[in-house]
Amino acid sequence: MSTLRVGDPLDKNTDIGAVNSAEQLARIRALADAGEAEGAERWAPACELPSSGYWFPPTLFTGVTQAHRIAREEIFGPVLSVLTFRTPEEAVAKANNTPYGLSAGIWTEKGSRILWMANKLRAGVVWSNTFNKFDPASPFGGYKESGYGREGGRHGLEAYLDV
Amino acid sequence: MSDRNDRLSVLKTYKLFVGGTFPRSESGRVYEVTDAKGKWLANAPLASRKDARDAVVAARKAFGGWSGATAYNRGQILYRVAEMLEGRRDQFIHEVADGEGLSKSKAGLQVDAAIDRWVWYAGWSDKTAQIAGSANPVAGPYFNLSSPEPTGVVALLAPQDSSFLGLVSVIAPAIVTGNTAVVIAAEGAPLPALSLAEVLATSDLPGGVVNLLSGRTAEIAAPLAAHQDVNAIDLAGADAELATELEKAAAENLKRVLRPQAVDWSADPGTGRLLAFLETKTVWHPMGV
Repeated sequence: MSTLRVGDPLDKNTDIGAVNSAEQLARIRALADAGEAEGAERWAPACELPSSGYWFPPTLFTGVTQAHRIAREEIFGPVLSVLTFRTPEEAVAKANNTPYGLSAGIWTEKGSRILWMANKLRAGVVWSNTFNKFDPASPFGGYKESGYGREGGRHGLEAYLDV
Repeated sequence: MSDRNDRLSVLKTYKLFVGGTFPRSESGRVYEVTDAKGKWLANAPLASRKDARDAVVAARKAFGGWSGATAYNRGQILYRVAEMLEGRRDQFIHEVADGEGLSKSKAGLQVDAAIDRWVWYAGWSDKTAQIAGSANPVAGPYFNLSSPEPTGVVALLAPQDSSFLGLVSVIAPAIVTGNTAVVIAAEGAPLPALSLAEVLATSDLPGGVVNLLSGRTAEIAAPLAAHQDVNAIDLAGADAELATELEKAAAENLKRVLRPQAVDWSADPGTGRLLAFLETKTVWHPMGV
């Protein structure tokens, strides 16, 4: 994480760009502060931020529970909340315990476990042993409160056929 | 009903159907159901907001098991329901004829069409993935597959103009794909729906997959449209004004909404209602040696 570069979003060497508004930056800060206040442990690498504009350093929280705001609300910033689990069933239950369902990720060495988990996760996109992949030929969109419909693929095209 | 009740002098008490059991409305209320000419037929439970919320809890509880059953198994269970409907054909003809003011032969056509439709939708259980799923040709070394999955708990406002064929035409497509349902029976003719519940209760359909409420559509629909644990709503039985109000409430948690439209319930239904309550899940997996 300490190798991540925060800076100009138009520079291709940049890993993390700017936050889009002062309002959103305030929201990220408020949620991160709430994470600490609710007892989670915060960690961020020493990281130089540009002097002007809206920036937030990549931040990690451990010791997060499902009751924490940083686990329940969408932060939309470079903040990762880490929850732990002991069994795959527990991981699925925690992942699904949210009103949102845009995407999910699974990392495991066992093929059948990937398919088992992908089947149980209530999310529109499941990345297994990969993350953040997008393609115009692949439908993207969420379950529950993460939106209506799909973009991309046959499902994305289908919406244009209802005229 | 008089010709059927010559021997049995005890009047039948129609009940709600929630979580596989037959409760009265918690409010204790009933309302009079009359035939098309205004003659009293029976008292039906007048469900309350609390009954609606109880039904959602039952539907949510049943969702994991029903959506997790194999498509083949769901199809078998629904086909068995159709067989049992056939056995109760006379009772349904009677209730449809009374409630909709149809002749016995016209009501018979409605009931036959409803049973045929139930069988038709049952057959779709293991076929929806073929028409709603896809293997996606992404530009990279990934196996990428989209499959349809049930959206969750669906509130169904059964059509007011077709008490049995219309009812079956909204319930069957919603549950065959793995959703669970809270159904509001046609306000003026709820008896076929309440009798359908008796069939479902003795079938292999797990309790809570279909929950049936009778009463004032607007009164029961409002808490369902606003409910945070309902994933979708079919507004078939709402008039334009009510539909607008419900759609606003449904937007709060981004429910999938099927707007009311003019439907000829006896025509080929197509796959619209089947596909309306599905989510698409896309799974990416890297390929490599």
